[in-house]
Amino acid sequence: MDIPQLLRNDGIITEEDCQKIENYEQTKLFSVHWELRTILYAGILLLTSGIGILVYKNIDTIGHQAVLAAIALACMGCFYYCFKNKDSYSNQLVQNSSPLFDYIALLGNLLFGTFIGYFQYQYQLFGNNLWAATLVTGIVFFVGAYLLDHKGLLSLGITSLASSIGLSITPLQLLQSNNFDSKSLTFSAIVYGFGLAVVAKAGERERIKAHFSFTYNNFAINLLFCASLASLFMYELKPISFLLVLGISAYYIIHAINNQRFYFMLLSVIYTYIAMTYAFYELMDFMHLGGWAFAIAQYYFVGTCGGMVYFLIEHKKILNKFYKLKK
Amino acid sequence: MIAYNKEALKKRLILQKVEEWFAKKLLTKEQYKRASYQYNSGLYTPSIFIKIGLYLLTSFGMTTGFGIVSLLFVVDRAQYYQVFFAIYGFVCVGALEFLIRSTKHYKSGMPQAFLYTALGFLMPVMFKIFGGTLEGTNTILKIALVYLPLLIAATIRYNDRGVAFALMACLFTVYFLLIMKIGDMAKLIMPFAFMLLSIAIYLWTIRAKAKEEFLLWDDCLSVFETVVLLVFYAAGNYYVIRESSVQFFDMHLNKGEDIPLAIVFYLFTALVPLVYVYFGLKKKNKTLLWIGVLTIVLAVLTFKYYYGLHHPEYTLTIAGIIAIAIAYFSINYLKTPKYGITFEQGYEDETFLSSNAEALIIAQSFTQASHQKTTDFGGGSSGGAGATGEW
Repeated sequence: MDIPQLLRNDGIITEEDCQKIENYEQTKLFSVHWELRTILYAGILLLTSGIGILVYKNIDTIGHQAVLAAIALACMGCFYYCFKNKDSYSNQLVQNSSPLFDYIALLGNLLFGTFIGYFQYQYQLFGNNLWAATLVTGIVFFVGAYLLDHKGLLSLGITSLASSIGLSITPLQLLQSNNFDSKSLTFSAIVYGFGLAVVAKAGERERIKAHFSFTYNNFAINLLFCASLASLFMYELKPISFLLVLGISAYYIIHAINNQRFYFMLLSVIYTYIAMTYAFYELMDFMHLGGWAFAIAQYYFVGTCGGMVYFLIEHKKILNKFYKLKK
Repeated sequence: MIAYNKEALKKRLILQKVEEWFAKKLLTKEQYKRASYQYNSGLYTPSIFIKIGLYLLTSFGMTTGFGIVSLLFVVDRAQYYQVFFAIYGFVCVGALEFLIRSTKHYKSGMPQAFLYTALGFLMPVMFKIFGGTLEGTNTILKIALVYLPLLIAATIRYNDRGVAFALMACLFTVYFLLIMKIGDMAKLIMPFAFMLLSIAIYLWTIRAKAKEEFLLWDDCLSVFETVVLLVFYAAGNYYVIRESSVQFFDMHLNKGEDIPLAIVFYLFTALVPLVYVYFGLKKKNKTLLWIGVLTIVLAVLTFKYYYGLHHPEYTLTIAGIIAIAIAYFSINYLKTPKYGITFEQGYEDETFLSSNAEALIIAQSFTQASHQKTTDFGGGSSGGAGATGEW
């Protein structure tokens, strides 16, 4: 299928445009951008884990001070490189010219985290206040993220700050390692998630690194939904938790449509469906339906799945009735 | 042949190109608008996340639906379950055809849900009908043989990548089991037979891709290409051959003994990945390149498995240094494009997802790595930097 010729015959482009396009297609470059980036990442991950184990095995012969000094030196080297080569700060997206810049920034910050952690363990820098160590690391990550325009550092900052209040929110650990049995932990998760969502919104509105919004919101939405579902399942005042889930869901569905980020839509729909199903079962339990409950449950799933599918396909039409969407 | 409207699919392909040219400023906004209007395919293909949602919800809703029907009618007549499976299967196919014709869903998650469910229901039915005619073969071969035509038909008609993958898996299973029937010779010819079939399919795929009439099946052809490249490598990989000789052909290797032609397979294990990468770059073929990188990793793991140095930390450190060095020198080398290869991001790479996914991967991999280190030094449960949330 000769597409440029086809467009030409349909009178959409001129002969000249056609030539230009054919020329572009012939001289198009082959990009190995992500391949090389992946290799670089794999290399850094392997190297840092390898050195970590090496140091751990040989700590008796090297000595703690030497290790600390080496880490500090490497860390300062990285920071020096970053601040020498960085472009001036801007509230907009800053694309660094050197492809290695991002990695050196990442390495420097990770080394800083290791340094603080090591120092804390060996010399009790902050006494028994372990949270202080992660807090300091988290703040440095945040500063680095904004100064160097680095989404990776931002993610690390968000997770560090969370862990200083006792939450693990790396993508795979959110459900495994958090103990939502604790009321205070659930509550702080909701507050932290809410805070992240607010920061994201403020950044978008004031145009301060608006492209960070996805990273913030991604952590916020998962944290908020997991924590509010946990409180729905485990604590009294279920109606309030249920309303909370609905509220979060409404916020993120509108956010998803306004920004064309359907990832948030999918998450909202799935989490809300879990909450709805739970509420439905609680309601049936409350009504003491006995044998009927099983039959009703079967129809419930068919009906709601149908409804959800309809919603996903026709979300624009449906929501337009309730909320004037941006065009 | 294909269930979808051919013209619509072609329009879709044209529009994809038009979008690329518009992004590269080869078309004016006016031209882009006119093209979008003229080549509007009307197909419904939502964003990937909506697709996932539609797929999950449709599959779940549909299976519960069939569950209700089964509870009402099938429980007392369980001996006729194939009849019900056939009915469910045809209902799914009917729904699928309806969806494609009237609502113009294309790869929206819903067609896939109906297609996979239909294939799942129809398999035992096919087995019941045709399985009896294949006497004296083992059950897996029977199932695979019966299923093969169904998968071929589904691949052609619905142009689905998942089905194309299943087709390849099924084909190679049949091939393997048929060769096993030869007897003693099987273990000698197996690697070469697999390589031969892979090469044959690969050559066919490459030729088909260049042809106009296979244009609409491009996705499926890419799946074939990927699978046979991997199978070809696996067929000659030292680890696979050695372990499968022990597994399937009762070979007993004493200490110091090696499989026949070991040197050939060592060379194959090490060299084929490099050949893949070389041709990937030369032919500017992403599939070859990625599989090349992947098989390099597999080759390293293979040699490591038999000649492990028992010092993982050295392996990790050295592998890390090598990977960083390769990446560093390539990036520097490609600062100005060489041989038509560049480090600049291509048009299709400039997606929103990739950069954000990268941030998440950093959070996942490096948070664990850095906390790991601190917990390693600490003995008690309070040693972690706090990621566990226990304290």
